[in-house]
Amino acid sequence: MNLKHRIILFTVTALTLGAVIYFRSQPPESFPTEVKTEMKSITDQDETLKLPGTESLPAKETNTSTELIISMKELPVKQDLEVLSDEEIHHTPKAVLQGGMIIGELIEDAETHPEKQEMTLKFLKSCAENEDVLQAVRAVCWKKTLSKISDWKIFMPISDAEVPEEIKKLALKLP
Amino acid sequence: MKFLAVLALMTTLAPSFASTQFGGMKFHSGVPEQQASALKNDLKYLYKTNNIKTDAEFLKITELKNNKGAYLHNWLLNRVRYVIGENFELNDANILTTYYYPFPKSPLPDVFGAMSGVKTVMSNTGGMLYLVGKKEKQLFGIRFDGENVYAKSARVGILQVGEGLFLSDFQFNKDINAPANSVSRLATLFHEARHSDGNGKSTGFTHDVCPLTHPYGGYAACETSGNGSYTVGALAMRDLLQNCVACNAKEKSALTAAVADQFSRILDAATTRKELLAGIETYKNLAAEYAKYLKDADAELAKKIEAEIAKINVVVAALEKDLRAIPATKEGQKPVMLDADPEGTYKDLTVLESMKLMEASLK
Repeated sequence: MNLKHRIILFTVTALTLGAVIYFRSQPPESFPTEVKTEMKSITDQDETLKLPGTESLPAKETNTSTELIISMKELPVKQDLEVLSDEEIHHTPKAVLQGGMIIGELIEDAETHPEKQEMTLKFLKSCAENEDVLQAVRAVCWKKTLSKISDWKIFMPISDAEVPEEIKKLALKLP
Repeated sequence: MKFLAVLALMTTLAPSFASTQFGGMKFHSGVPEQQASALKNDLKYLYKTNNIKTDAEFLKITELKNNKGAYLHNWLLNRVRYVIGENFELNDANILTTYYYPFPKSPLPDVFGAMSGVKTVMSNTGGMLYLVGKKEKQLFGIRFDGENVYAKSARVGILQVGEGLFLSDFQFNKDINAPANSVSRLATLFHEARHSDGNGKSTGFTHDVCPLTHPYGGYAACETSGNGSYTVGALAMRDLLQNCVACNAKEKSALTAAVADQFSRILDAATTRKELLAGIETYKNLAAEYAKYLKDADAELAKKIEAEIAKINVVVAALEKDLRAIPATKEGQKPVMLDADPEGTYKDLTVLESMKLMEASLK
């Protein structure tokens, strides 16, 4: 490859990267670009509401929701308990531990990126409601839903949550 | 001369087949070095833990006087004294048998009517040897690196550690000695230690088969009692987790899921006063948080917030009703508590004795 080719290749690469960075930095049209100064009304579609004074960061919900959809798919489901080793039957299956780690990672991420907290909270509630997800993991999700609403000062109605009593009861036992 | 040479050689080789001990717990030479080392580190971690947050339920179930590390170590040591590796086979070479041993006349646990699946029911080898011996009217024991260890009680404390306890899939951190891994393994030790307790039908605190509606339906991986291995393991893990200052958020979340899994195996587990109080506080805090919106909300939104607060108050009222019912239903409350007093011949170590053993190991 001669010098001319190298310059052309470098220019094309630089332009491509520049374009990617530019377009990625532009917020999607479907989400607000300005800091919210007024309280949102609660709708069926958007049930979260930040407390006044805590909404200083713009939401980047497209990336967050994609991450959360992927995480929801990674959560262990009942079928993951169909084939278990003796160790897993007697003690805790690795699927349960992995589920706990996914939740921990998401919460940790939301703690450092407050713009992700609303979506993470919705995710936790959905996880607690999801009948396919493992019981122990659902209990952790419900526990975290209740605690993070207060920690992150986000309003999200929980009285309508379709979480069975046995999951709520199990969540009461968690630290 | 040749005999002396052989003897000298054997003496030289002997230490490589000798067991090691740490804090009074003996590790068979067949336990892989990395596993033995991790377990020794766990015992040290436990001993050094002087729990700030005490859990009354854990103390009540284990009959511990306090949560200090020395007491927790003593509790474990009186139930797990010998550790054998996964490859230790209970064959003719390792098994000891004595006939005509006067076992207690007490009945056997119901599960021992059918002997199949015993390994799944219990991996506490000492408890299993004792119960099988009592059923067969033979005293069994094992050759433990030259020491003959007879199972005259489930309290003999022989535990077989499986590879599963150390597999990377079950680790919370890549470092085998990370505190989160210690918390998990220690909870397993507490679970297994409980299998050394009990008498008559409660001997070994054998597991019950989970109902088919349960996530582990059909497996002997549940318990109907309120003070069995799953209860002890779950409470130990919850307690150790709450005191694990070095555990990160991801590890804590995974450990919380493990605690939930263990509690889910206790059938008809009652909610304790402490748990209900914590639940009431959580919901009250939520209602208080939501109330902060009212001053800035328009009429329509305020209506929705008030409706949500009202619904939360209904939940709080229901929990408070459950709380008031606890003292009245305490005796008839499910699940039942089994008698944890051990049977057979065994010797408990005092806290002072086990402390001396640990301090000697830590020097």
